[in-house]
Amino acid sequence: MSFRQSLWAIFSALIFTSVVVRAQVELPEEELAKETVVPRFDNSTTVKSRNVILDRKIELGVYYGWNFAEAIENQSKLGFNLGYHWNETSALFLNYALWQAGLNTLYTSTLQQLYQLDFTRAPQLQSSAWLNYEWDVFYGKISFTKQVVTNMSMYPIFGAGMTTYTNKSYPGVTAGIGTKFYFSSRWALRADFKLQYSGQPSPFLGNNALKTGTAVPSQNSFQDTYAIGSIFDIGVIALF
Amino acid sequence: MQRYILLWFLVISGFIFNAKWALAQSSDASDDRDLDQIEAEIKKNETKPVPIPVAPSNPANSSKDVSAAEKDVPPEVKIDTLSDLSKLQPFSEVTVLQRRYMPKSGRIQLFAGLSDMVNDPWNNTAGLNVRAGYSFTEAWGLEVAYYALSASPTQAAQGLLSQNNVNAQSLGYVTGFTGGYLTWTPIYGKMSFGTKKIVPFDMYFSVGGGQTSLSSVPQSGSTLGVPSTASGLSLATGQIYAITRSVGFRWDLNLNTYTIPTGATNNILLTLGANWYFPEASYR
Repeated sequence: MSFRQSLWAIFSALIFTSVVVRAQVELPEEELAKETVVPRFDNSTTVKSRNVILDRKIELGVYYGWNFAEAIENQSKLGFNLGYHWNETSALFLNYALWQAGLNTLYTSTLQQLYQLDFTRAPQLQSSAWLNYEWDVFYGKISFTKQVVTNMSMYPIFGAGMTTYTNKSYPGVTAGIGTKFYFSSRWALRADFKLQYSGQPSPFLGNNALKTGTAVPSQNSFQDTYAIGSIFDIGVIALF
Repeated sequence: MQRYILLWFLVISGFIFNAKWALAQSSDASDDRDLDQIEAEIKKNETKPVPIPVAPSNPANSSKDVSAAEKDVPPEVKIDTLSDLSKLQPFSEVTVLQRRYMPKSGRIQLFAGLSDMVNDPWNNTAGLNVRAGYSFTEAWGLEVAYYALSASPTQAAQGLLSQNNVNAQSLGYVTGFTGGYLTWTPIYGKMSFGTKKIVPFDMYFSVGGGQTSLSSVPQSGSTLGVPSTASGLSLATGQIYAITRSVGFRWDLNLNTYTIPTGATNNILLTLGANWYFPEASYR
């Protein structure tokens, strides 16, 4: 073999091997991706493992609360929540509260002073008992100043119940939203805000029946009415 | 002859080299190169323990101190191969850095929402709330707020008027509020909405002050002297849920305090609305 033939042999060998090996990595055109898409999964899971387990847990909590829309009666109350979570997202609660005695003096003292209206003659608010359904559909975690990481949940609340005055009890419905900030898997700070539409005795009575110095009217003389209340409760809960 | 041998050696070696190079395109040879580089980097940057200074003043305790210090210092691990990496000590401090989906630092924010006063038993007070703010850091910012509100008598006010001839709006009602806040955002979180979506959110607390605009209806036979404006402390809290990097749903609960002749008064305003951040955060 001449030197020239050898050079051709080298050149052919290099070209041949390149072509052969390149053919190994080439893919058919029809098998190549023609567009880019974001994969979608039907079985997406946003929460893989929960720190706070609610399924089949009993929840007990105590709270202090207010009805900010109450004009005449004392706005504050002390109560408890006792409920059962039959799965991670649904729970049924008994919400019971004892209302503080007395009047909303922010307004009644002015009305007493200026117009001699004595609202202690009206039926007094005593207690309330509600059966609430809580839908624990929002669950997450938070970092507080990047130092503490904890869990929280938010849940719509729907309920119905009775409010008891010194004359009688009145039905009502409620809806709102609540949130829990968990200190641990058992303890949490709980805050609920609800709008409540319920019956109550109208504290206003004509014919000078509320005027100081006149005869005290019968509690049955106060008319029934319905009113919207703005309820805010804050307290602590424990899961068992 | 020697030239031919050399040439055929080149042919064979060229064939082998070419094949090996080409196979590298479909094998893990590039990974091997990366691993080689990693090993080289490890050898070049082998961690050397920093000696802990020991005070020589008390020879009696020096040996004890040295032994205690030696306990704290992890034993030196010589890294020659990749398998030696398994002998490294675990990290004592790990900082997790995660980009915020909707960053705030250095961005202007605008907010518009609908407000309702939830604690006025005599008036249905509602209106518009607009805010503008600037965040210096992710935690701290400044914000100004303006409320334009209107009021109508509630059922209780109508009962008081019809039964007792007293107009509750003579006690005063709110028509607006202008205030400024220092805003602290210590809470950053992620909330799963059902099983489909995770939404990041911030929770903030604001402290500031402002001026409440008031009005009243004259009541025959009495003069309460409700002023047209009253100033006081203002506190707020709320959450901003990210919809995009620039737009979020925000709720805000604002407590305004002031004193008028009938006494100290608190107004609680609940606002729901949309928050916009500028400029865009795509560069982050």
